[in-house]
Amino acid sequence: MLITGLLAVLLAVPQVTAQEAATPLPLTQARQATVFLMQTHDVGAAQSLSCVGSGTLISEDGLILTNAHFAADSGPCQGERIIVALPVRLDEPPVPTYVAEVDQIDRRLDLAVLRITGGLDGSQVDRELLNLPAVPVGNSNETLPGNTLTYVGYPDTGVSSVRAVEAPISLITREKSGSGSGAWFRTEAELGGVMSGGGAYNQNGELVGVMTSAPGTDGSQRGDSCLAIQDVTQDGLITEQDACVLIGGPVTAIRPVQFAMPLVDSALLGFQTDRAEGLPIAPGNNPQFSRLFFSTGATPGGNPTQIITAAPAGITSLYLFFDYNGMPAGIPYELRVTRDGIEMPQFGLGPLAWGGGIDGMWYIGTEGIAWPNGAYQFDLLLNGQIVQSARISIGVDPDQAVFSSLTFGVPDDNLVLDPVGTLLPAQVARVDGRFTFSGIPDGQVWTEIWYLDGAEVSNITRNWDNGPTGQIDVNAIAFEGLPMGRWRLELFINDRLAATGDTILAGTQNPSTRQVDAFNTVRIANNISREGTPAGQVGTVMPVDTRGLYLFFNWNLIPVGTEWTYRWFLDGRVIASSTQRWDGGGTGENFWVSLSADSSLPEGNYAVEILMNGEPMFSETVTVGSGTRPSAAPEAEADDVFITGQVVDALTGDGIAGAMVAILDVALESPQFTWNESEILSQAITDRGGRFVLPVPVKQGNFYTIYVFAEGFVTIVEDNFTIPSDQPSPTDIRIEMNHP
Amino acid sequence: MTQVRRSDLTRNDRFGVVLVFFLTAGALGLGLLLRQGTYNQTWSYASREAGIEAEYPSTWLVDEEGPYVARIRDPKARPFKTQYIVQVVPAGGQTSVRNVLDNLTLRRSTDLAGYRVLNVEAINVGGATLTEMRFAFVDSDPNPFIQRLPVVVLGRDVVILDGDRAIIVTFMAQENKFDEELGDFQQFLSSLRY
Repeated sequence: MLITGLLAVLLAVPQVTAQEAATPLPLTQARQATVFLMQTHDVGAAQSLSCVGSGTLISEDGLILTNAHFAADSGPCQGERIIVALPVRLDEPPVPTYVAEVDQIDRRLDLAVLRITGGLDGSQVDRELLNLPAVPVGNSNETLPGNTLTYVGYPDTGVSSVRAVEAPISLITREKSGSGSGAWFRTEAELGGVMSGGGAYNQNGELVGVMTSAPGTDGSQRGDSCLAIQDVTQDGLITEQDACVLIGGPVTAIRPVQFAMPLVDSALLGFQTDRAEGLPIAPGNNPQFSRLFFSTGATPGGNPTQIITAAPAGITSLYLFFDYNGMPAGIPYELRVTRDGIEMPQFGLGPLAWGGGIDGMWYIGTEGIAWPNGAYQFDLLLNGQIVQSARISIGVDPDQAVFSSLTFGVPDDNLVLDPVGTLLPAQVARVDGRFTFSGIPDGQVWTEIWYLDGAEVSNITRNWDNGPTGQIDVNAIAFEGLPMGRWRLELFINDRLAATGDTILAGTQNPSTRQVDAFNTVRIANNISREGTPAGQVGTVMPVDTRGLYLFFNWNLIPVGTEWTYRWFLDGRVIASSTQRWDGGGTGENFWVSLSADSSLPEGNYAVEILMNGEPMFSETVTVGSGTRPSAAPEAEADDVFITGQVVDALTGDGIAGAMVAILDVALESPQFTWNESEILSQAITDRGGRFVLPVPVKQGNFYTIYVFAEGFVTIVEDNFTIPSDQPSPTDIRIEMNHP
Repeated sequence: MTQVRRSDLTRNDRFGVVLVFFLTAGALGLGLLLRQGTYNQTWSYASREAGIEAEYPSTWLVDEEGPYVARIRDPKARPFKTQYIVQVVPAGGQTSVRNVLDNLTLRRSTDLAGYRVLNVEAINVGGATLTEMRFAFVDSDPNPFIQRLPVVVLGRDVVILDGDRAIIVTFMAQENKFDEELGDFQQFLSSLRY
């Protein structure tokens, strides 16, 4: 017979420090969900740290959102092992606990989702039992300059506890990596480089951004961004021969979480994407920046709207454009801006890890904030060294002679440009560059230069005779058809670059739509043969147990190196997206991209879309099963309360290790309990301090039966255990046990 | 000077003292007997689906939700819960006891930290010769926010080939309690009907 003991359930004041007590609950969750990441690589039989940073748990089963450069297999942070340290106690340093692997990665955005795969001892983890604290992901599109965010990460190399800093967004920086939208939230808060990868939270405790800062150097030089803290050579000394640990420069840029959503969704749903293997492309080397100039804005296709060399007072939109080539993935780059010799960090950017590909044209700009008058210098850095600079004066008379709004297009018989944009059909006889002009005196010397894949194909200098204001076309003509490739037009007034733009010529012109026709024979299969051709079922309806979808297509006249994107959708939502450089060759058959899952794909309506240079090319839909997704698992309800607590010896107050705390299903009282574990709602075993965490929540106001077992103590049975409706979750309780 | 003081107790008083002493001792003895009876009391477990019955210590918890027929745990044991696990796996005509044990080892080597087989030997249970595998592993709480010390657990698997199936009966207990609890497991094993 059991003896019913005294249950002293005290709704205890959470045991937190004074600083934490003032912390709103959602932020506590954010701090608990912030992990410290260590990238290590093998040095002989030992492990050496290469990089450290922060990350955020976004699912209870161990998915971590962080920067790609921590996890990439290239760049200065490469390693063999990613170690995850958790904030077991919020006021203590993080504790190395798990190893993780890359689940999803986008180097262009410097974002990655990691997946916890095992314990430090090499044991596998049952991810369903992890039950880790995770944060909800918010909508960063609703976040605006002036909104206050809280930034959570680790301030140093794992010596200190997790840190939270509150500060407003000072402005939004636009960059080519953001494809025209706001690429970065900016803050003037002092955030250490190790906080990179950690989260930025809105006032609701929702994750809306990922702090991002790459190491400023490649690790060849010690300093603030590369700390000598380990004896890699194991000679008993820390010397120049020992590799240092890279940490990012001060964080000033936060990647809006909306950019991460395809990665997050893909990881949550267990999807993986793949593609046909392309032709080998030599990795970038001898990286260079060149042709720096300023513009008042950028077109959606990434070309400048109006080039300027000086700006009037009050200008609120200023972009730095530049060419890049030979850029290896992950190389640290940075923009530093000084005004009259004083650094203006809010207008600079980085250091960040490069993800823009080997060559092309890039921009970094700001809108919506007035630039103070002064003489500005923009310095571009690679690996911490200034490699190019440009200057502009603000608050002076701007250029009077202006070319602007350069647009490319293929003229029809009436000289109407159709199509227009940065992707036009190849093999056409003529492509026009149309631009507006103002303030050009007749007789002004101006020059028109066309390039194809970087090589000059035409250079004409004339005297202006088109009047002071208007619109005019210049053109590239080849009656046998203009070849595919990246075309560039530069327009000079005297020797000053006045307008420029790039456009890709690819495919052929569809005779009826006039649009680019570069893809054909599109089909979707649910398997692939060894030869890389469609196998299994081909069509637009797939059976319920489909494990993968393969989109096959043939292609015609696509220049190698052209930026292209594939996106997978499930029920209208992007669940996977990847932007890459085309490496399939000019023309060919059966290129494929795939979407697969560890088990069967969820039923639903899928679609896949292919874009080139940002322009939609085609899309294809396919239904898996009935097309109706099974309803998602129910989420935690508002009246659910998680219970944590401590079981103590009533006599001494010491925690009782190894005690078992069990709460029966709500409908059961002790007389009906048959000692079958299926009747237990939630159970936990106490740790060495007597502390426990019940993994299943209880509902406020309901009455439960609680059992507490411990060898050497009287078993506690209480049939009227309840959590009042005003208690927060988690609620901490204290249970006292008596000796027999 | 030595003073000798005689007791003032009467004969009835002395009888009362003796009576109280014996009553107390008797009550304590009865309590111990009741307590021992409670400890030795067993409950019956039966799985109609698997066709297995056994007697297990009272007030232990039965779990039939996992990848086994039943797991029966002592909720009081701490920190590791002493437990018996009964599993049934298919066995073909060419399946040997060794094959069954090797499969257990392969699975546990990925699931359990520090898993090590100690020895495999034949044992006699109720006149029948069975094969027993002794093993050890390190048990730790998967919840990283719980500071539970890892404990060394010892275990024994007893394999019974029964036609086209193999019944695996496993006993696991914390290393310093293993010998103490072994007798109860042998009783459980002896009570097994299949």
